[in-house]
Amino acid sequence: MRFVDEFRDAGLGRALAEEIRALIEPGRTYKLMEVCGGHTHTIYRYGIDDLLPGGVELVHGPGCPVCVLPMGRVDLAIAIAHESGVIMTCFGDMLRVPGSRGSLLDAKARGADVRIVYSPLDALGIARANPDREVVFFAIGFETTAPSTALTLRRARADGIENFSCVCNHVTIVPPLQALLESPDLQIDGFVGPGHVATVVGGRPFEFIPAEHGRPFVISGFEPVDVLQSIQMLIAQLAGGRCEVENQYRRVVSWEGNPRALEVMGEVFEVRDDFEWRGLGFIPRSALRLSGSYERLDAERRFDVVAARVADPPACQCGDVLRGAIKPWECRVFGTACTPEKPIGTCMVSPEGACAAYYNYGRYAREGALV
Amino acid sequence: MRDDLPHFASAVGDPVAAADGGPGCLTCSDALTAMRVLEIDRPRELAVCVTEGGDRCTVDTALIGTVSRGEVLLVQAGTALTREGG
Repeated sequence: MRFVDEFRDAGLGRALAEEIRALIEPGRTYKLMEVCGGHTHTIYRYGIDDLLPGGVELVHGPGCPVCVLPMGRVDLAIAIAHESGVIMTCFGDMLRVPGSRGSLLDAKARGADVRIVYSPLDALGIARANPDREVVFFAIGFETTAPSTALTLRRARADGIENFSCVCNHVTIVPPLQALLESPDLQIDGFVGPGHVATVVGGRPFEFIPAEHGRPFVISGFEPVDVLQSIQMLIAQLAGGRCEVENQYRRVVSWEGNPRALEVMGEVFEVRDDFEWRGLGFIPRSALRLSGSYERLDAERRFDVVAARVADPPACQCGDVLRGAIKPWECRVFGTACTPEKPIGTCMVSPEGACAAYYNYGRYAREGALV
Repeated sequence: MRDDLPHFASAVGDPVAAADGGPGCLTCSDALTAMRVLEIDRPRELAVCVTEGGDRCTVDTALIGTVSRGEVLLVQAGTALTREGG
């Protein structure tokens, strides 16, 4: 397929790896954070880590929306799912995310009507087909997914669908990056930026990273050649003393983003004062909720439930993984008590999670790396 | 890496790719899926699209304006966010 095949070409990949090798300064370490879980997945699926010279280290960022969801939000969804007459709808990988008293899948086993949907539109379709039930959509994701939820809510309101509402867990990518950059122990030299978020928001929101924090930022696609080229562009900036936002993913991302998506998000959502991120704590103005004109569709206002703060299990080190402080295999329960079949932490639940990527591709320890 | 494949060789065991024909989570993640337009419902800004693997679904096209049959869209959670090739 065009735009896919050429970006999986092994010869091109090797050539880029050689270019990276030629650019690096002997003895220097380059610590680069890939923001997206999608990038983490590509890196281990295609063995990109093994192509890089020893001085280049990849650190996995907070860009998997499932992984950063705190347990209290899952508990909230479960509480609503158990309300009389409710059909709770969610994306597939939300189903197994553990709350403090089990997951939505456990709730389903206990009799709650929980259904997987592929899109918010599917959830609205369920509401149309079941006018005597309350249908709730558990919305999650960064700016890539938020427009889809916003469009669906706009359709629901326009069509007068009374039995549809949404638990909004949408988060935005810039505040956690800001929090990471302000962390005193930050040791990141540059960022492989979120390509699909940038499809919506464009390149401008990331300009503060080189301007205020002196780190280069390259918006990257998700095929292996994309990721290698983005790493090459970052190393070239560092080698040449440059520091700017570059767009490797030009075949998809425009500098302005998608103005229609931003417009509908602006209409339907407003920014929350703060929101809890798993592993990162409360981050001001980092999440969205339904705006006043859509409050009738807000499940958090429609149902008498409140999201409580729930501490992570003591054994779980997802927070350290999400901050890039440790590698997944350094977590004390990785691959033993915590596996994709029985996850303790969210990073092991989603295929985009760093722990799941490491586990699925046999990265049980640095020495034991396969491929 | 293997030399006998035209593309990058995938790592051992790829349950996700096996399940959905592509990497990562297609729904709540930061992932877009390339889909070709088959049929168009212009008044409702919807289109029936198909993935490379043959899966069909209805896609909301309201965010990208007019679409044409045969065009490849990048779709996230049932909503087209952009066209392939910009």
